[in-house]
Amino acid sequence: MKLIFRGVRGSIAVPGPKTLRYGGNTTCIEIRGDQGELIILDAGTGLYQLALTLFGELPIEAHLFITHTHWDHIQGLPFFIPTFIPGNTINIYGAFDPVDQKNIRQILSRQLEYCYFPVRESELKATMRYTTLKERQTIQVGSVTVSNILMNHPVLNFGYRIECNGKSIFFTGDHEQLYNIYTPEEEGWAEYQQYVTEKNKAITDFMRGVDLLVADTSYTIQDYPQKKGWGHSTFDANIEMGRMAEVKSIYFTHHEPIRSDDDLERVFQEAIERKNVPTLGPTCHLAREGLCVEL
Amino acid sequence: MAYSETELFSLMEGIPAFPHSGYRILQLTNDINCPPKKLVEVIEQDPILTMHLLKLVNSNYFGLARKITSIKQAVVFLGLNTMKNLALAIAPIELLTASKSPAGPLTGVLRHSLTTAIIARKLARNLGFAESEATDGYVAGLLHDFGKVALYRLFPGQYTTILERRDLTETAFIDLELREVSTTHAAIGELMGRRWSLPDLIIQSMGGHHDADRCAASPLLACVFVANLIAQKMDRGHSGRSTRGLSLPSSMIHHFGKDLDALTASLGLIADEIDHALFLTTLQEEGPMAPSMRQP
Ligand SMILES: [Zn+2]
Ligand SMILES: [Zn+2]
Repeated sequence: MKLIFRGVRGSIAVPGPKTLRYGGNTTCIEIRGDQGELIILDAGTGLYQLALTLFGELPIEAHLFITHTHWDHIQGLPFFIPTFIPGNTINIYGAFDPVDQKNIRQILSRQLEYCYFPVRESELKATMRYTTLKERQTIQVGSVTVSNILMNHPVLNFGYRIECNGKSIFFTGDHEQLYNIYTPEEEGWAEYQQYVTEKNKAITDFMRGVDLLVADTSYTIQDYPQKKGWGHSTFDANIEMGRMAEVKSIYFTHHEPIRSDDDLERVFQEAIERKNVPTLGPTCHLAREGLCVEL
Repeated sequence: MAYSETELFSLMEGIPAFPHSGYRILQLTNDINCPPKKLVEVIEQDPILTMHLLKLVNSNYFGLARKITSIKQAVVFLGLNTMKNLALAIAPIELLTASKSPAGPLTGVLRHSLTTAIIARKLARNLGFAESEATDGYVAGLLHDFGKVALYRLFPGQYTTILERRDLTETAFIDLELREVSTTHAAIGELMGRRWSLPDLIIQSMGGHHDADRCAASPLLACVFVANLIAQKMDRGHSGRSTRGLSLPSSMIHHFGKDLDALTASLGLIADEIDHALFLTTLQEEGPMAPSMRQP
């Protein structure tokens, strides 16, 4: 199995001289199974870069798993060229929207309504298949198995575990570490803490032992107090989560749009030293657009 | 023979208390900085709202791997924002029915009230009101016919017959109320509003939504009045009145600067929003979800 980062930025695409090394496109990850199966995690603007590499292998069968439908994770989808070409098959998977009571097809086809886009969903030429996933539903794609668990974000967000012939990857999508909304002296604290502990354990158990953890790392611990509750995590929290889950390596992604390449490397280095990663592990890397990791 | 105020008050002993939690949730969710534990507390104190939410999050369509048994647990497992938005979607129903589920003859009243609420909010936004005031307009619209809910509770037999008469004009409907139950939904609504010490806007809306001059005194109240008219047009047959000859009273024109047709057109595409709100009122474990889950 191999993984290629196609977009590593959070929130909004930020092209320009300050993001040249790590890239300005929003979330998109390409994963290839051992038999060439094409799995795509999220459809941020990085999806367009991926599309450009696919012309040599048309027609394709792609399996696109959406962690959640915030803009930065779906905005590349209307520009995913294979959807306009007959013969391609695009399978899209994602969560149900409980608030507006919409399935993944209904959510995504809104992006293609008249006022947003010139081509309607029903006019796409590829064969489009949609699957609204339940939590922990497992999808088999050739030699690749994809399963999911709900994470913590302001909208339902699935973290995906991808396995192929003994190798494994976990992608958090957007995720903030859980915390207690009560203070210890308040009445609700103990009950709430019990659920937080249970949910944290469920998440770490689900990703246990993966070769690669790809984690939303929008913030530094200095940023975090002002952004608590926004649904994103920090370098430090991810290192701790990775250790609890005994993962072999961590790739930090969903970089803050405001962070220049130099700043990104600096805050990464600070976190690595603060958490004593060289001694205690696991190995940590910054996700970079175009970076290919072979497992 | 009409009731005296004392007689009405003693009649009202039989009506459940005002569902303050639904109202609080509509208010709290307006504030992006509302502390999470406040919201949890308001929901937890209301068994009916709690039951509604737990039913919703445990429904099959949601697809959770684990059964959720408390509101705190739901917040941890689904996230605060999702729970907040679900509570916001359910609060109006809670506020309006104050019972486990809308009873059959009241379905039309519920539908009409939600439609009025959504239109009143939209009109208020269009007039440039801040979101918190537009929400006040929404709540006032939602509760304008609360007197009908009360009268149905007090006189289920007679009032069912009245609610079923969908051919009547507004005046004829009120005459029939006076004949059959010796009071009107507006009169009892206003009394209840006072007794529950509700905000004046809601009291005026419950008591004065048929009185154009009274509503013209406040632009938000005018929104409710007009929303009620438009909802009657849209909802023909459900509000209990015929819609022949509806037009904007002259005392209202200065608030809006448009006639009723132009105002209706200015609402844009709100049918979806109304359908969605109505759908949640009939939410069951299985059933109404089925069509949207169908996939090619
Ligand atoms: Zn994001
Ligand atoms: Zn997000």
